[in-house]
Amino acid sequence: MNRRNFAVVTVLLAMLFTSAARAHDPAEHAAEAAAPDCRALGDAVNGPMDRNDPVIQAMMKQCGEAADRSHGHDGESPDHHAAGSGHSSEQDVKAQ
Amino acid sequence: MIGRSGKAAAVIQSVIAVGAIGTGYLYSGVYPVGADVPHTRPVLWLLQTLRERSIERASRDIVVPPLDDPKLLLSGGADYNDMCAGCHLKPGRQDSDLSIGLYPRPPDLAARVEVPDGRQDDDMQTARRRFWVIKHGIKASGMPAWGRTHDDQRIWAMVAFLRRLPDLTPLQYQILTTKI
Repeated sequence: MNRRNFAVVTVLLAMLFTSAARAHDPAEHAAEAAAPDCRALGDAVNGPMDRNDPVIQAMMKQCGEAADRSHGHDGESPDHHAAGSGHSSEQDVKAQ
Repeated sequence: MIGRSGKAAAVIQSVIAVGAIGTGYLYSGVYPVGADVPHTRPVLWLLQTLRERSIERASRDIVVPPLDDPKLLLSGGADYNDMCAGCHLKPGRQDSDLSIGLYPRPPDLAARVEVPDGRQDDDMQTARRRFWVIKHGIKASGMPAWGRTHDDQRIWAMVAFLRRLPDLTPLQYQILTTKI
């Protein structure tokens, strides 16, 4: 019986420690939900804004997804933080 | 008058003497290795030259992919905030415990650096250099080799984010780096 308990504890500890190995998995980031402060986007909209600027496009995408989430339309998982998981359009970047 | 064999002997003796002095200094433990004491100028020059030449040689053939995709900024921004901002700072932050305590001091990547002429070429070389440094790290500097745990695509995303980082306001930074 003691041996069985020891095995259970060992397995649980192993699971606890191995979970740390995924700390940099992009999927881990998704669990840490936070809201972007989109006031800067509002300021940009009110002022001169270059919609072709990748920074503006990225901010609009981020704030759009945050708004969708806050309205409960979060059926799809965001893909932009999973760029390293091989599901994005930048998949063809070759190894250096 | 010293003959040819005499000159050769003198050179050999000099080399042996310098080697002996250097070895003695090495083993004496006199040189300070604490991060709160800067290197002497010759040692600093030696290490910096070694580092820069090595990175330049190793990164020169890296092919830089397009870095203007907004998705790259979001992916790279989140990773930068997690992995880099503590040492390399972010908009609105002038220093941190790590940036102050590390030696050599990590470069402030949120600071604007003026590039004189040939901006495009410098951009490409900077991108190659940054990719290589992020992927492989730098020995004895506190810079880890992120390539062991992050694939090339995620590293390029960080490079893409770094290109725009000095232009960002603190609010823009917050938006781009928030994980949703």
